[in-house]
Amino acid sequence: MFSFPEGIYIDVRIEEINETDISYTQGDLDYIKSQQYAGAFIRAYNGQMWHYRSVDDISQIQNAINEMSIYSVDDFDMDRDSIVNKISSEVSTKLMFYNNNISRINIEEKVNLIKSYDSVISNMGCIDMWQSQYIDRRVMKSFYSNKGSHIMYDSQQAGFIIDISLYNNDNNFFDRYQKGSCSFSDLINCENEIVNFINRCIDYFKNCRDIESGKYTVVFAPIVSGVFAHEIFGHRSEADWLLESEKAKEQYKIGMKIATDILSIVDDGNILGSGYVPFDDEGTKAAKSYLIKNGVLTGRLHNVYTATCFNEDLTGNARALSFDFEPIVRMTTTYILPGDKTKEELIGDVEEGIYIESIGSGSAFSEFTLSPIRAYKIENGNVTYPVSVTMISGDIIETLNSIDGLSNEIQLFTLPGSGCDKAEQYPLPVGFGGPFVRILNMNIY
Amino acid sequence: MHKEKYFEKVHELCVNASNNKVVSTLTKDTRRTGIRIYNNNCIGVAGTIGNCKESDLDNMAIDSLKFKIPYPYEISKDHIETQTYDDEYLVEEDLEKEVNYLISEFKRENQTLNFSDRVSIIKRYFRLTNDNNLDLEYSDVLYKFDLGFLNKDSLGVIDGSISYLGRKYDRNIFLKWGLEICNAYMNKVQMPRVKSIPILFHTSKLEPLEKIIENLDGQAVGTGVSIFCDKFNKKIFNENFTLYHDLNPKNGISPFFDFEGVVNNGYAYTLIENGIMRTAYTDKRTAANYNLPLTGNAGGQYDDVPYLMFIGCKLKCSNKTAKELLDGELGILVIDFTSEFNSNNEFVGTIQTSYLFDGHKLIGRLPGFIVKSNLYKMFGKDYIGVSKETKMSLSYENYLIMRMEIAD
Repeated sequence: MFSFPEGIYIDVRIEEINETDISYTQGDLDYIKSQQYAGAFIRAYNGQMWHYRSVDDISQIQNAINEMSIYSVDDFDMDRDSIVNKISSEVSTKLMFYNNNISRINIEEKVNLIKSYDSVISNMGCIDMWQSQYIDRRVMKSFYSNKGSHIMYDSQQAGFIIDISLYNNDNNFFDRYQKGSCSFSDLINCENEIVNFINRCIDYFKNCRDIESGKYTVVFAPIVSGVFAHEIFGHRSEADWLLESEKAKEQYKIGMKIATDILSIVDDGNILGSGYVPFDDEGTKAAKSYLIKNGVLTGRLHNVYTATCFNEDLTGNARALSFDFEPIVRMTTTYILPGDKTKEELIGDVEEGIYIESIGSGSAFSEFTLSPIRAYKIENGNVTYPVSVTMISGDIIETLNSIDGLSNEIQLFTLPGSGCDKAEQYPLPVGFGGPFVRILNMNIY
Repeated sequence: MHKEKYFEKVHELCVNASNNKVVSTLTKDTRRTGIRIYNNNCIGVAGTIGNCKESDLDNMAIDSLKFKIPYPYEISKDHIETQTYDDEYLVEEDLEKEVNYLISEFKRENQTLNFSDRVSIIKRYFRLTNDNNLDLEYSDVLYKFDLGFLNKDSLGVIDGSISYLGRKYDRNIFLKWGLEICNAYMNKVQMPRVKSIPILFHTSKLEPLEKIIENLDGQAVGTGVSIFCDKFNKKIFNENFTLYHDLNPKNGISPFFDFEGVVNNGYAYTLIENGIMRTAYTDKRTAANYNLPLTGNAGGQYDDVPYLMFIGCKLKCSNKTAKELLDGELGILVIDFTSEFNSNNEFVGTIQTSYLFDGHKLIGRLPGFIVKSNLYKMFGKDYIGVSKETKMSLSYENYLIMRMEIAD
C-alpha cells in the first residue's frame, strides 16, 4: 500500500472517525453535531531516535513517509536492532462492529433518545439545573509497517451523560449519571435508572451531614473501586515511569508481595467497552495482563521500548489519544477481580465506617487521592445517612495492604464523559471496574 | 441568512525527552475549519479537519439548519482587527539541541535527578470572519516547556517539574529559574510547626478558584443554582480580590476575541471588583436568556455551536512583590496538588510537591501535607493578594497568596 524507504523502520496508523454529539440544557436544544474526519500518524526509527509526523490529510501519507527518509542511517540493520525486533508483525482484520455500526444509526433516533431522557428529568420537576448529552464515536484504524504489519480493526462507543445541579441555602451539589456501551440498544429504556439516580442525589443533598476528619473503614461501590484500581495501581504498572527511578524498580520488582492476599488486578484490552484495544498503536495484539495476583506483583504494562528495556513480553498498551499523538504506555480496561463476600457481608461487618457510592476524580503521585461525590455513614453494619466527604487519601502500599474484603461480583464500566490523563493526552477512553471493596484505616477529610 | 467561518491552523514541533536525553521528535500540522449559517433565528454548523471544499461545508451547515438549533441573537459585526505575536526566540532547527543542553545543565548540578517529558514550539493562527463585516485574526508563537524530574531514589511517578508556557524564551533566564527549582528540590526541609501558613499558587492553577468559576457561570446564576445568586453588588470577598475575564493578549496567551467574535473594551470584563460581585460570565445565549450583561465568554471547538465557557481568567495584581505580601513570614509554594471543594464550600488540598518560599527564593522541598480552608475565608479574611511579579520574567504567571490551615 505504501512505498517505504530503506534503512529505517516506519509504521503508519490511519484513523477514520465518525462522531455524534447532541446536547440539551433543561429541555432546550444546545447543538447537534455529526462529523467525519481522518488523519494519520507516521513513525520512523533509525536505531537512535524516533521521529513522528502527524497529518490531517491522508492523501499526504506517502509524502510524509518520503520525508522521513532523511532520518535513515546507512549502517542501521533493522534485523539486528533490539527495538525493531521487539515490534510485532501482525496481519489481521477484526471488524467487530460491521453489522452494528453506530454511525449508521439515524441521527433522529439518537436525538429522540436523549430528548426522552431530558424530558424524564423535566417531568420530575425537582432539579434546579440539568444538562443531557448523547455522544458516540466510531474509529476505524489501519496500521501498516515495513516489518510486514497490516492490521485493520474497528471500535465504537455510545453513551449519554446527565448532569444535575441542586441548590439550597448557600450550598450546591453536582453529580453526573453516565452510561456507555458498544451497542446503541444498551442505552434504551434507562428511565428508571435515571429516576433512581436523581432520587438518590436529592436525598443525599437534603440529608447530608458533616463528619469529623479521621481514619475510617471505607467500602467502595464498584465504580469507585474501578477508579481506585486505575489510580492506585494502574498508573504504577505503566513501565515508562519505572525507567526513571532505580528505587522504584526495586520496590516494584516482579514477584514482590505488594498487597493483601485477596487482591488481584488485571488490565485487558480485549474487553468490549471504552478500553477495547484489540491491537495497540504500535501494532501489538492485546493481552490480558495480571498486574497483581493474590497480592503479588506479577506484571506491568508496556510499549515496545519499555518491554525491550525490561526484557519482558509486550502487553498491547501503547496507545495514542488520536492521530496527532504518539503512542505511550496507557491502560486499557483495568479492574479488580472479585472476592468471596456479598455486598451485605462487607458492610454488615463494619461497626463505624463510610460507604462511597459515587466519585468525581482521582489522582496518584506519591499518595493517591479520591474525591467522592456521594458518601454515606455506616453504623453497626448498616448504611444510615449521607455524609459530606471532600477527599480520601492514602499511601499507596499501605492502602493496598489494608484491603480486607471484596464482594463476589464485579461490574465493568464504559463512561462516555470520562477518560485518563497522561502527558497531555486527555481524555483517553479507558474501561474500569471491580467489586465492592472494603479498606481499613483510610484518611477521610 | 448569514455565514460565519472559523479557521485555525496549528504547526507544532515537540521534542520528547526520556531519562535525560531527547528520544523523539514530533511534527504536527492541523487545520480545522468550521462554518456557521444563521437563518430564521437558528444556527447550522459544519466543520472538518484538514483539506476542505468550503462550498461542501456551506451546504452541510445549511442542511443542519433542519435541526432548528435556536440562535436568536445578533451575530458580531463591523470589527476588523489583526494581532500578531510571532517573534521567534528559538528556531525549530535548534530545539533538539537546546533541550539536550538544558537537561545537561540541570543534570550537571543535580546528578541524581532524571529528566523527561517534552518541549514544544507551537505556531498558531486563528481567524473568525462573517458577512457582517467581522474579520478577527490572531497568530502567535508559543514556547512550552514541561520538563518533569524524578529523583533516582524516588518512588513517585513524578517528583517535580520545570514548566513554562509563554511567547518568549531566553536560555539564561530559563536555566537560572530551572536550576533554582532543582536545587530547592534537593534540599529537604521540615514543615514549619504552625497551624496556618500563607500558601502560594501560580495563577495558572485554577483549582483554588474552581468554586468561584462554577458559581459565576451565567447559566448557574440564571437558573438559581449558584451560591452567588443573592450576592451580586454585595461585598463578599476581600477588598483586594478582583477577578477579570481578560483576553488581552498582553496579559496572557489567548486570542483577543471569544468564539462568537465578541471583543470587549480593553479586551477585559470585570466579574468581581474589590470583593464585590459584579456580574456572572456569559455568552450571547446566557446573557439573553437571563438578562445578564454579555461578557464575551463563548468557547467551543472549531465546528461547535458556541457555548458558555470560562476563558481568560485574570486576577488583579497588587503593587507588592510576593516577599512584600508575605511581610517577613515564610510561605509555601505549591506545585503539584489535588484539591476539592465540597457542597458546603469547604476546601481540602492534598499537597504532593511544594517548596518553602520567602517570596523571593525557594528555600527547600517540603514533605506532603493537607491544607484546609473555606471559600469565604480563603478569598476573604485569609486572602493576602496577588504578587506584582511573575514566577520568572518570561512568564505570565503571578503568585496567588492566601492563608490556609494545615491539617493534622
